[in-house]
Amino acid sequence: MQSDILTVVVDRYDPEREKVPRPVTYRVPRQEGMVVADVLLYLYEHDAPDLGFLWECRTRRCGTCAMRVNGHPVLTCSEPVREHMRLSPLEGLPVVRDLIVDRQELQARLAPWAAEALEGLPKDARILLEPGEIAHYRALSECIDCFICDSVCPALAENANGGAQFAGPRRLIRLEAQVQRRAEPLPWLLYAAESNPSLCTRCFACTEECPRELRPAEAIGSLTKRLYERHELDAHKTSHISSFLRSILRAAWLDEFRLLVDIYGVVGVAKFIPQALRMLRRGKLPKPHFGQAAQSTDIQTILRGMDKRS
Amino acid sequence: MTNRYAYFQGCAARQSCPELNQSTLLVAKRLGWELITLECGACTGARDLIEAQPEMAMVLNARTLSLAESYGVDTVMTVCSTCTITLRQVNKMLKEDPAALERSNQQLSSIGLRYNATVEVRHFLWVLIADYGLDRLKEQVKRPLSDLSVAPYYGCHILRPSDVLGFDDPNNPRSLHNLILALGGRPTDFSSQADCCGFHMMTIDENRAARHAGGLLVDAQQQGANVMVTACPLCHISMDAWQPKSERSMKRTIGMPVIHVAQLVGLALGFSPGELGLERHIIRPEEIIANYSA
Amino acid sequence: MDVEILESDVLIIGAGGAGLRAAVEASKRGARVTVLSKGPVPGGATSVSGGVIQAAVGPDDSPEQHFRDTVIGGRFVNNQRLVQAFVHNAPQKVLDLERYGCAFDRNKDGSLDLRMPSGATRKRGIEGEVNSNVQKILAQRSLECGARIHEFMMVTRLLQDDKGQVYGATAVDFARGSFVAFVAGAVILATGAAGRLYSVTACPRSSTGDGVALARRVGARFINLEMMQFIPLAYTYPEFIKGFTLGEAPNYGHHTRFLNSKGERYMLKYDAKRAEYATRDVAARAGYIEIQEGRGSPHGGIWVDTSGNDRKDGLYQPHKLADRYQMIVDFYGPAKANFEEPFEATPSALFLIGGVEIDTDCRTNVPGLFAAGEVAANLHGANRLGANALAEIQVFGSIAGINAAEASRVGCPTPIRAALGLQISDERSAVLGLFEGPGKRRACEFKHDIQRIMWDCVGVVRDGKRLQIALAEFQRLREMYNEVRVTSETRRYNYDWVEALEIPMMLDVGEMMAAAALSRTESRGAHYRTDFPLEDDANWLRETVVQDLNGKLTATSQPVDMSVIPVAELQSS
Repeated sequence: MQSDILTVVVDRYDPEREKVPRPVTYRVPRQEGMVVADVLLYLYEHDAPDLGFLWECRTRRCGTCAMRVNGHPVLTCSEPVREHMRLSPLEGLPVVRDLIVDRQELQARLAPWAAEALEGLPKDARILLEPGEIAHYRALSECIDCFICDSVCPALAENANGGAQFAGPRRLIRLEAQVQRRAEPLPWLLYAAESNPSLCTRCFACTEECPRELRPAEAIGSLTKRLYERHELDAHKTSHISSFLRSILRAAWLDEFRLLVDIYGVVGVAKFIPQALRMLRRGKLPKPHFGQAAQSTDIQTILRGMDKRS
Repeated sequence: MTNRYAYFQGCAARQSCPELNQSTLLVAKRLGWELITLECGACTGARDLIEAQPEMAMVLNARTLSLAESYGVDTVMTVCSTCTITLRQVNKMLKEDPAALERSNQQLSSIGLRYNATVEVRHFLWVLIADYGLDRLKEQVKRPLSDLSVAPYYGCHILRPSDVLGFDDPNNPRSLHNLILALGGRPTDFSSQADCCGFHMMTIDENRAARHAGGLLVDAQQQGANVMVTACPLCHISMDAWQPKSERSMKRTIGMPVIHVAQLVGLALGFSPGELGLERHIIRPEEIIANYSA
Repeated sequence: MDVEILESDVLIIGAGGAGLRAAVEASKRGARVTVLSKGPVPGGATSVSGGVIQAAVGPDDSPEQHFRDTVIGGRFVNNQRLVQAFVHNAPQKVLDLERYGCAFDRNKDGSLDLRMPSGATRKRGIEGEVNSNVQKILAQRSLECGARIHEFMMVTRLLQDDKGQVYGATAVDFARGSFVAFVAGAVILATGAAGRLYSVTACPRSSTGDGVALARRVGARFINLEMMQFIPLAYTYPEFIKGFTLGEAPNYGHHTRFLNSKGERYMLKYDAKRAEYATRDVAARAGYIEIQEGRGSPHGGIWVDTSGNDRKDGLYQPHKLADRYQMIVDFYGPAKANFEEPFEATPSALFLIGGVEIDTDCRTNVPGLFAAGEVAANLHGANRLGANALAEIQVFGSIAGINAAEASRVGCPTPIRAALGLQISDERSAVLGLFEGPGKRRACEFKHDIQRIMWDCVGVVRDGKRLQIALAEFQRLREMYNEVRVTSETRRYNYDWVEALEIPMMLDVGEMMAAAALSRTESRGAHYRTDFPLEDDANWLRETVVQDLNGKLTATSQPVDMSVIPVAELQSS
């Protein structure tokens, strides 16, 4: 039996005045077909006139209304209500106020490469595509910058601990869209390389959560392929890929031992010795493969001529 | 319902996780399954090949699938999440895109093979739950795992993307949870149970990966788990073989034993820790070894 | 306290299709461009518009034919010189979008895959790139040319020198909560839609028609402000989505029926020949009257019955307009989306047909001020053809950008810049003063009042009496305005503050629209009066002209420009 009243707990938070969010409970009368945005508008007009939240288009195009409902990131303009809801801002992004996160400046969102990649190019060359460059891959330019993918990305969360910085699925899918439309994509590809796509853990959380089903994880895979084909991918990942391929062609199964040597070098692999000894004691140490596997000839035959890398 | 499956071991179960292979074989035999090990299979290429050389990955895995098909089975059973997602991705493409299937078969014809896109790829956990059934499994339990608080660690590749995997809801997975209950154990949910273990980052940035995996172990521990179960040997390597690395990275002791699904099931079915290869683990499950050896 | 003053050559107010196209063109020509967007980008009406753009590109088509369709559709009161400029420029300006990165539908032989927009007599609807993508692509291109685009900037006033030339604007940056001034050599007004003046609208949050108020206050002339386009079908519930478009009868197939609460096909009363397939204005009016007279559906709409249709003829299907189909599933449920049950729909405010008067160079009567897009007039006459607006913004956005860049070379002279200081500080006091004040009434309450008055009195069906009531109500609300109080101290994303700033502007605009509606004593196109229900060509082949001269609103009229084809000739064809 549906209740007429919704219980809504909102993480109120003004970083300029408070140290931590404070959950406040509200009651909202239910309407037919109600979406979470209706609840927010109701609160704004009644019990919480200073509630901070964004909306604009109502049609999943502007990307401003994303937040977590019961822990799950959604677009509130089209999210049906539940009887009990907890509303909180997207995870992992700086909170401006209440349910509003920092979506960055437009330039940083839409064209972060503009200054670097395009310096020196005349204006027309920067903006006008040649007829052959128009690709019918509209889907990727449909990214609405809702930041949901970035908010669920574990690799992006690790940036806080320092070291190499991952650019995040949102920026990478935008780069992939750029690259797809250009006959000469090199400036964008180089920018993509600097965005550390190899730090993606391939967990597919971004693809799973994208409200427009744009598949950012697959776009990162595609960028990886382009960089790999042009020999612009980072050394670690390149040797990882090449080692896999060599193993498969020679031994059918992955030669884990060789993989480490290929990536770290014979000297570098020495740091694994303590671990290797531990594993050896337990009988878990992978043995290097010698010679070809029985099925290798077959595998080499079917993969012949298929290497797309120059 | 048939209980005859092509068994795709994958690379880890053949090398650095032999205990996974040995426990899978023992459990399958006890439950009356017939496993046809695909010795002549090949590595799926993991994420590397399917991203960087997608056509190669397609043909390579089409070969594996056609080998399975030639045995007249309808399921290829995997024991590794990364094998599962990769094989399922290729299989999905071959089933949905006739041009892709045609291209693959063109290459396969040069070695006398052909894939008709009739097999399904399913993880051991799914086969156990969907084909064998948890109620039936309960009846086979000789030693309920009543002293075990088991953290159900899913990781990524067995859940996402859900249109490729589709067995569990990525936002509220229950399969491991239900399995643990059926075996008489206590599942201890923890918030990062469907988070990535970071394995595929390990050779790119070691510290990052180690810290990440350590965080998951600590989270599980704080929820009261005394053992963690995982469906993927790569997650297992992350969290067991490299647990000392995580401890160093986070500057704390963790000491959480991590075991495979087949080992968990095997313990409940009455196999000894030795038979299940529990002594091989880097973080030795001392209590389990002690309590289940009799 | 010092106010931050930002300078550019061209200042563009509005980041919809027209504003951003202007930004690209001006930047290309070396102008330093600043664009101010009230909401996010993408945002505004451009971001929710469909994706069909009209231009005479087909082999069997011509600008002349496009001209005819536009003027006939506009019931002959379009400014023909503007229409001429529009139809001749549209093909090039629209196809330029492909060179910016938009992907239009093309057939295998490379030719464009064209649609027939409603009201057109040739296939000239270019399709393929949903308009929020066009907006993003234009934004990206202008950024790559060095333009600066600021979001969440609410412009509150245009700055003028003592001769009336516009040299910039003041704005509230409500993301940060600061007051800013912009000074430029030329200003382009491209503020777009005004649907949020009404209680039921397809327009997004930002569309309160602010640009009309800004231009009013510097003495601009307005043409045909009585002309507001309403669409016949929009969501009736839930509250949040109410008013968003549900398209038209043909979108669902060839046998769509509209029913009132008695189950009658009421359209047969209003347009026996075309019934549900009549033009938008006729269908909107019919629906409105049925609802007003008590024959509406439970949520205040009429019933759309799609049961007689073949689903594959419907445009709002997953394979054709996936987004729109999914919306019906989300809000009304799959049964209604799949033609298994009828659904409710209400008329809704869509497009401001009238606006600021421009010439073919996009100049307004105010020196230094250009205008382009929906805020400008008079391209459409009394009724706008579908898909013409998306072409309008490209054509006039481009023209405005080119001309403003040229005009801005002179720049803003230093003594004038100094003189603007007083206007700036006055405006700052007014804007910040909204946080003080004795009143307790919330801006959203004022807003709802205005929206109700507009819907009831300046809406789909008008009459002299109700228009007078509207004017009186607006005056009353003006006097009450000092009761408005912003409830929160915070300056960041405080929409209470933004709405408080919107109220006087909405009153300014609503008042002008009511005055214009009062002055046109006939019915034509979108403007329908029960006290003057017929089209009166003898007296009314004219444009209404509304202007604020030092606080006094004047409403006059002038003959329509018919310099290209005499109306009689068009009417006989």
